[in-house]
Amino acid sequence: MIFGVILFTSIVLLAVAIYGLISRDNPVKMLISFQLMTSGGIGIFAALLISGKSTFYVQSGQTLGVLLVATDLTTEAILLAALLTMVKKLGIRRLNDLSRLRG
Amino acid sequence: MMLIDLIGIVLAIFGSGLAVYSLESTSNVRAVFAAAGALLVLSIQYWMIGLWPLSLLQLALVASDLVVIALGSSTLYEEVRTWERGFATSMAILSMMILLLSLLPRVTGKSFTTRILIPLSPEMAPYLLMHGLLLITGALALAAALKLGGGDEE
Repeated sequence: MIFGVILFTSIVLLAVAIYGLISRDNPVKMLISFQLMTSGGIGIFAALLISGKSTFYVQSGQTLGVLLVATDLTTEAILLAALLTMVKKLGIRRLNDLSRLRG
Repeated sequence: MMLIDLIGIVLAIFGSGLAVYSLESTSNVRAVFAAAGALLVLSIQYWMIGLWPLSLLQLALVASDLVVIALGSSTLYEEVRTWERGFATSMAILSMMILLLSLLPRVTGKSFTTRILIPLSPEMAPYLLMHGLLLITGALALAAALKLGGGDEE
C-alpha cells in the first residue's frame, strides 16, 4: 500500500513539474518545477526498486536513480548558467521576454 | 488498512497539495517553501518504509535546492529580509530532521533493521556529494553575478 502511495506522490510531483515548466515564465518557478521533476523521477525509480522481486529490478532502479542524479547535476549547472547569462547580460527577468531575441 | 498506510495517504495528499500551491502562489518565498515541503514529504515517505539512505538523499536534495532557488529568488526579487527569517526556520527544521534520522536506528533497535528493505548502492554517495557541491557553488556564483549584474541595470 505504502509503495503505491510513494508512486502516487512521485507521479503527482512529475505532473505538476511538467505543467509548471510549460505554463510559467518566472525563472524561480522554472527552477522549482525542475527540482520537483527530479524528485518525482527519483521517487518512481525508488518505487521500481522497492517493488522489484528480482535483483534485475533492484539493479535497474539503482542505476536509473544514480543516472538521474548525475543528469540532474549537469542540467542544473546549464540552467543556472543560462539564468545567470539571461539576467546579467540580457537584463531579462521573465522567460517570455526571451522571445524578443528572435529579432 | 494499517495506521502507517493512512499516514502515508495523508502525507501524499498534503505533498501533492503543496506541489500545486508552489506553482500557483504569487509570492516567491511561499512558492519555494511549499516546494521544499513537497520534497520533504517524499523524504518522510522513504523513511516510513525504512529506506533511510534514500530518505537522507532526498533530504540533502531538499536542502541544496532550497539554497539554490532561494538565493536566486532573493537576488532576483530582493526579498532578503523575508528570506533571512525563513532560512533560519527551515535550516532548524532540516537539522532537527537529520538528527532524528541519525538517531532512528538506536531508538527502534532490531525492528528497524528488518524494515530496511533494500540498501542503496554505495556508489550513490559520490554523486550526492558532487550534486551538493555543484549546487552550492552554482548558487554562490549566481548570487554574486546577479548582484553585480543587477547594479548595472537599475
